[in-house]
Amino acid sequence: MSSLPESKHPFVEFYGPKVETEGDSLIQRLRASGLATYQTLGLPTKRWEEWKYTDLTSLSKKSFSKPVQYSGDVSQGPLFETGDALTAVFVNGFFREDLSSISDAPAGVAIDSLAGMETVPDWAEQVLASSSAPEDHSVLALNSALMRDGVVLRIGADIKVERPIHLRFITTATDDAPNPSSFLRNTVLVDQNASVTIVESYKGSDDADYFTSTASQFVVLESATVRHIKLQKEGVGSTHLATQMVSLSAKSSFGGFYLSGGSAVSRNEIHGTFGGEGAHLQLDGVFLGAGSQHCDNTTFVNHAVPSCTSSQVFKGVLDEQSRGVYQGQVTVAKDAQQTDGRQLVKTLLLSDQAEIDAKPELKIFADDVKCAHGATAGDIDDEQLFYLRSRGIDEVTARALLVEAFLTEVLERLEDQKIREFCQQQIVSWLDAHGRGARNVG
Amino acid sequence: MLEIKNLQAAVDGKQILKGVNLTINAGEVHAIMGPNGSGKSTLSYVLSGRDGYEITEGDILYKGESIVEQSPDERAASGMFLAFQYPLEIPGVPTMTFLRTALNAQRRARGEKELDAVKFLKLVRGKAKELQIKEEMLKRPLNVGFSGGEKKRNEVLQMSLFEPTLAILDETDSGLDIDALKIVSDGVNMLRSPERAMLVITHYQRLLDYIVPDQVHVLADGQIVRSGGKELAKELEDSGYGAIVPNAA
Ligand SMILES: Nc1ncnc2c1ncn2[C@@H]1O[C@H](COP(=O)(O)OP(=O)(O)O)[C@@H](O)[C@H]1O
Ligand SMILES: [Mg+2]
Repeated sequence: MSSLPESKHPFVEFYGPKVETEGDSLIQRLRASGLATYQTLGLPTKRWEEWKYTDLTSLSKKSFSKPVQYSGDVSQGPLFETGDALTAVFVNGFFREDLSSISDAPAGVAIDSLAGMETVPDWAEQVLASSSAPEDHSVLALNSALMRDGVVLRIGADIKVERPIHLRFITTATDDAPNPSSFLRNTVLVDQNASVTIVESYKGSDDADYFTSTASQFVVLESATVRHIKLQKEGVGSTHLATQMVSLSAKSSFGGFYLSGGSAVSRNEIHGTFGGEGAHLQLDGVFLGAGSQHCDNTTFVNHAVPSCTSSQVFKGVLDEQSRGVYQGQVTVAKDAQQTDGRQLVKTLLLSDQAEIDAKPELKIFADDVKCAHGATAGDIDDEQLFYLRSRGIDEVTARALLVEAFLTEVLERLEDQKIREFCQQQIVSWLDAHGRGARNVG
Repeated sequence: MLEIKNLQAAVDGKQILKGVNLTINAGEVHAIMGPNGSGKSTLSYVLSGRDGYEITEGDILYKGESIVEQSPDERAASGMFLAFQYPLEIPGVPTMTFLRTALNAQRRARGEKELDAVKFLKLVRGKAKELQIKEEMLKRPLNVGFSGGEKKRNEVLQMSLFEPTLAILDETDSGLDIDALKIVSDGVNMLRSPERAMLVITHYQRLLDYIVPDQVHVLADGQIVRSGGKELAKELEDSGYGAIVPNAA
């Protein structure tokens, strides 16, 4: 891994001295093949079908700082007061043991930092190699090539983890790295019949033009249950590209909730694949946009086997000139009978300049399936607004109430009350800052 | 209490109210009757300050002051209340949250102390009981899954909570069976007082057997074409609008 070919693609110059295990490990090979793929493809362009609505060309004009470890103070307060959570904190892409609380992980929970491991266990290498995303995925390939750190987590068979596991990713501008870039890779294996709640949160400086590349791989074995909550509240100037990969074995269940409200440009892409019958995948999201933010939610759900269910509800609230994207592709293979696949995307456009591109899509090759999709977009309902105001509720409050009401349908799908309340509170503070009756208020 | 002077109003550029004159004194109940499409609901919206209902001429005085520049919430805080002909369903807003937000918003605007959760709950429970509204209903999202009659009762519940000085009831009787009509009328009658005024819009005379008006007005094509005592309602019932209103069904 010494000399590199000249490349016109951004970030390639960061490829270099490994942080993790030396030698011809699977990780090294993954990094090398990631680099090769990325060198060939480069960053996505709008000519690619899957990137039609999200433009990353501005990335090549920016100059990000090479990932460097930072051990100083971090001013970013907690994004989520998890209280009793096991917390793993990463700053500028690297694990910070001093800020984390993973040492008292209960029996059956193995949690480590990728960069800190002397040898990456076989199971983790297998998870890393078992991506449910396609091979020619340039954003993931970039992540593979440059991955430095992240969490390596395994929940043992039959273990029901009570405390949520919170992975906090913080970016802060430093003297060494005024515009930090991070390449995070999380590896999660949940063994048979285990159960766990994993929260990923992302937060960073508003004054840095930084870049976060993150990829998380979840392998959920038979009858296991995973609740995954991702809270993206990155700094306003940042770019956030996330790829989530979920592989589900028979009778397992994965419930994801994705709250995106930060970054100038963000994409949360989820690939879910069923490998055994009777499994359930739920993917829900709330995206909040203001200013000139661009927020992309893209999902691929692959019903490769029969008798699985998938259900998605995404709701967006877009103000000012912000732009939202939802692309959802549900594929039902020829043999995947008795599939139930649903997706719904609804967007509230608070301004005339806000825009949503919503493209729920079904590709069905089986005949005995129940599938449905829907997309709606609209403004706040004038009649409802008048009804509330005629009861003495001022316009700003009435609008906020209607926005919250709009999001209720998706928030109610969050079982965990603490997390639901937290998300509600995030939404309220977003409304205070942006959406609250931004228009027509004197 | 309320003085409507030569009120003309348009919606989407279409002139609907064509010079309405009406004075209601404190303590009085006036009824407005009229064929469908005559502008009754439009009048109620204009009085409440709904966006898009443009006053092209005339004035509305409430407690002696023009309110045409006031927002709907300002009007509500100063004691105006409209019971909607078609109450809105608002999924995601629990009825209780709505009631408390509204009541406290009005109180705040008037410089009164907000009610805490306990006091509020007690107040609502009492009023709901009087109107035979089940508590379970109040836990549901606002008007969602309510029957027509339940929605109307919920309007009257709001009215008795807010205790307005001027209540406008737009066809609150429609969709109610006779028992519900009695309950709702009792609720309205309980609010009758020398300090309050009411404008009761109805298509049918039936309601006026329960809420007996001091005056009855007939609105046709955006104008009041006749006014009289409560016997006018009876006359309309017997002869139909056709006798009074040209071209009415
Ligand atoms: N938004 C609107 N745009 C145009 N015309 C309207 C609108 N709303 C009501 N109208 C018209 O105004 C007239 C009066 O309607 P309305 O006030 O609802 O009558 P009523 O309550 O007496 O039945 C009707 O001819 C109706 O079609
Ligand atoms: Mg009407």
